[in-house]
Amino acid sequence: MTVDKYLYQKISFFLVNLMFIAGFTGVFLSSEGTSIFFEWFLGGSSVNFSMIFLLDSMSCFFLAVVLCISGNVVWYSKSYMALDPNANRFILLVLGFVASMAILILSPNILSILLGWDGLGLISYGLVIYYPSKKSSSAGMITVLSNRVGDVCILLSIAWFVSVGDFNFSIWAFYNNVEFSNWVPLLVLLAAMTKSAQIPFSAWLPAAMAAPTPVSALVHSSTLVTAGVYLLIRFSFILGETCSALLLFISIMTMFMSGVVAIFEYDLKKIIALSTLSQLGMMMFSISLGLYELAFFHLLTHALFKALLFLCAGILIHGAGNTQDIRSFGGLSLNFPLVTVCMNLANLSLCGVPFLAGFYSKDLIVELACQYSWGIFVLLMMFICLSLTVLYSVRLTYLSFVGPYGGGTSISVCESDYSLVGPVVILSFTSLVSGPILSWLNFPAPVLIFLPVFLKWGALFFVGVSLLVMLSLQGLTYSYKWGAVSKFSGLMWFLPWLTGQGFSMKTLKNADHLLKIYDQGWLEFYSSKGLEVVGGKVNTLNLKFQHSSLKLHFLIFLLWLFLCFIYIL
Amino acid sequence: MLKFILMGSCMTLFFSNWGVAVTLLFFMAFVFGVGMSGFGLGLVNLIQVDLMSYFLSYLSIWILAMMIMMSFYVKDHKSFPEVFLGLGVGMLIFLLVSFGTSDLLMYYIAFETTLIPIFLLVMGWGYQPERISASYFLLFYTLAASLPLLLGILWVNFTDCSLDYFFLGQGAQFSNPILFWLMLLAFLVKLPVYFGHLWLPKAHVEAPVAGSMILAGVLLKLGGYGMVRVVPYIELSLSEFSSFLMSVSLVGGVTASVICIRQTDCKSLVAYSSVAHMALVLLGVVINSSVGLAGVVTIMISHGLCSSGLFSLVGMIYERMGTRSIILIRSLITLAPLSTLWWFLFAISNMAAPPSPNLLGEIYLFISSIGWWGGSSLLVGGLSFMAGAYNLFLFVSTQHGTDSFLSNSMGDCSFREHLVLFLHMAPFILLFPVLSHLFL
Repeated sequence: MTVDKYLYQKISFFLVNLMFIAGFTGVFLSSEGTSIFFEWFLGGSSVNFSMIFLLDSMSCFFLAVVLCISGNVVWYSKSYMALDPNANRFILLVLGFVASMAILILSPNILSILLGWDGLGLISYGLVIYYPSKKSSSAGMITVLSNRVGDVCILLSIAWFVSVGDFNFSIWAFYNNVEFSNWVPLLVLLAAMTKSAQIPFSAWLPAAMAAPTPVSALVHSSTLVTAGVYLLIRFSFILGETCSALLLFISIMTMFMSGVVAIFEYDLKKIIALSTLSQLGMMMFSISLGLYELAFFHLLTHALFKALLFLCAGILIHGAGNTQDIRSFGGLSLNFPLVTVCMNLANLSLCGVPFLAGFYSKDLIVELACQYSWGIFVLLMMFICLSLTVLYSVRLTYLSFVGPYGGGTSISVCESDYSLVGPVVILSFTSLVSGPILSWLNFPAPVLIFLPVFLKWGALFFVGVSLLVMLSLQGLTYSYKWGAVSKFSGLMWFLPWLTGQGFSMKTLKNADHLLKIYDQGWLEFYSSKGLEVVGGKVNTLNLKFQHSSLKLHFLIFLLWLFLCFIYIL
Repeated sequence: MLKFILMGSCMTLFFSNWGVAVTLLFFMAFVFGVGMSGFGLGLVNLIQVDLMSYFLSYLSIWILAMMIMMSFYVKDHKSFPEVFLGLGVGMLIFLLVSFGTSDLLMYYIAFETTLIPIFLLVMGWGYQPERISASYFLLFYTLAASLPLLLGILWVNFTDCSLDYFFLGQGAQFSNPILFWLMLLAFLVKLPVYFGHLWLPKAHVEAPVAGSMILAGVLLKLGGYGMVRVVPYIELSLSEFSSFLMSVSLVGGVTASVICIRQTDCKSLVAYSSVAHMALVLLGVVINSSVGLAGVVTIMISHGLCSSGLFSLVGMIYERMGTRSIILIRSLITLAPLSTLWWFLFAISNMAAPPSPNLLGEIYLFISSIGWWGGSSLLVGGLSFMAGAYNLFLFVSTQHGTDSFLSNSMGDCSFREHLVLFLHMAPFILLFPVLSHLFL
């Protein structure tokens, strides 16, 4: 198959141009404080059926971030996928993914959201099963079926939307007294939970790391998984108290779970996936507290530095002999100096170290959460999760860059490849500056926060202390085992079993029973086999009468005679 | 309508020339599509065309053309190509009669007559020796269920003195459970709803690809169509039995789709998936609202195109590899990458991903079923989820992987096969805006 030599560059250039358009539109719209609303009326007598695009600062900024990441990722893939024979398929899938993400971002209409939503699920499935191995096939299945639950929820909520007569929910945001069915917020919440991999649907996100690394950077860290968060931000006006409380609990548990599991994980990409999961939990947490803008802000900054983290991981995997077991890394800072810098930047940003991108969003969320009185449990868990983030990030850094050499072959040729390093440098720049810039753009007025001094310093204190602890423990080197805890966490709290193997085993076994009992059992017995048997017996009986047996004839004759006799009498 | 039946009869002249026959069928489809779209018939006795019968007649012409294009191997192997074509055209004529007539008895006659060609197709051009018992099973199962319908129709004739659809249900309405079951049983088996579906997987597994295509594409729709037609007469009993029928359709649909995953034969999998889809049709008929009816029409048409396309894909593999076993067919993406795209498109269309009209039909039926009872959303949701599961299972287990040991010399789709698949997919996608305009 011949591939255009400059295909990747062209597409990347195209995407980056689109990014500038979207970004500047966003800046314009946010400075004007307006939004643009395109509606293409398609028909409908009882329900308003139209294709709608909403351009406001939120959708434009998100779109710009998505396009920025995808432009860089496509450029990066030029080298990363250089030896792949199916490069055309890869690039088409990535473009399809970006297109469905754009549809999802721009449409405030549940029907066209479904278009993007289903597209995301299916195309990400195509990307997860891109490599033809058994592992990728099963990972793809759990990914797409978890997402399918969300698709079904969106479908059902479409059906509920008919009761208000319009699929366009942004209209309803202006009316406070719209009577939505109680099912709608629950279904939307469930859909968002599946897409954003909250408990109990978390298993697919680490599994989806079977995809090529550029895909993980684009799809499973910054765009697809944040679709659920974005949906909830858009639907914030109907998310009632019950759903918020439910979400609060689930998001905290997800944050905690992924933080703990990440500490016991050895797969480089899975560690990063779990850190994505914990940050998604953070966004969900702030949504459940009602801090939608902050969740959105964190979504944007997180997308940028998480993509960076994945691209760096890709270079490490590429350079360290195609392994992603973190135990075979170690001391790579000498071989990959530039990547070390960029990856540490992303990691520290993730931890919320002051004046990097993550700090701006995370610190705001934490402080505002402290300001609300949600009880000691919520606060404690939040701070624990903050520390956990630091713990696994430092562990990652230590094991791959600082610790003893792990024995993998490491060649640092990758750093001289501009199309691998270029995107990394660009994304490092954005994750340096995106924090303040996005905060200026999103929050023109400062947020007023009253806090006691110890809470004000709480976040920084926890981050600093856990940094120091982790460094002094030498990153909890890999020989560290905690028996049951490490087993429990290494298996991701049995979530993959619960929603993956266990569930499907049960279902398939029951399906076997059904097949044996009904289709190959009673139904068959009472239709084809039963008719055959009964019909055969009747036929045999009939045949006996057809034999010209003299005795039988006389017997029948006598019988008739007898009957006639009775009748006459 | 009559001229199309006449046109079909004239095709008997071209039995030996398949190219002309296919061209004529496309011409017929074109003229039908343009000419009948206004439903302008004037006052014609015994003939009526409304939206539903228009779409379904169009579908039958289209699927017939597809199935002839798919079975050029019959012509190449010289296994009675004239008879094959004759059976197909005969089936088309009776399908047009059954969709175009306005008389219930006439519908019944045409409905039963279509059994003969499909019976002969399965018996004559099927693959394994089991085709004999399968074709008998198909014939007698549906026949036994539909004989009561004749009694029902005669009963209606006795009470109403007319069998025209127009007068159907205009007479005195009364709830009559016996009549209800007489009228509905045939269609429930023909549809088929789970518990009466046993003939379908058997027939599909043994049928030639053309037989499967027309069976899944059009013949199943006769059941749904008939049900919609007789419902006005039995409306009162319908509301009496609605809970029962809804349960049968929903539980049966979920059961069928769960069983679907356990199939090892691709064809049998697709056949069970039609059972699951047709459960939704029953649901829409039982709910008997305008949205439900819209869903019924949409699901029937889109499923007709989609499952026919899937069957032709399975047929293509069977022609090349000589097996339909999911266990043996592997990594087609390395052998036939273009056909993988078709597999993906048809699989996701069958699982009602946008922009397939299947999605539209599902939305209509979700709306109506949730209107009936909110809790039913659990089951229809399960149905939709399982649809995703088995379609992607079918896709991934045939297309994905590296270890292909069966055939190293398999070619990709030929031009003709691409054309067949394209002609399934293009109207399918184009129907989405049309159908959404019509009903929503």
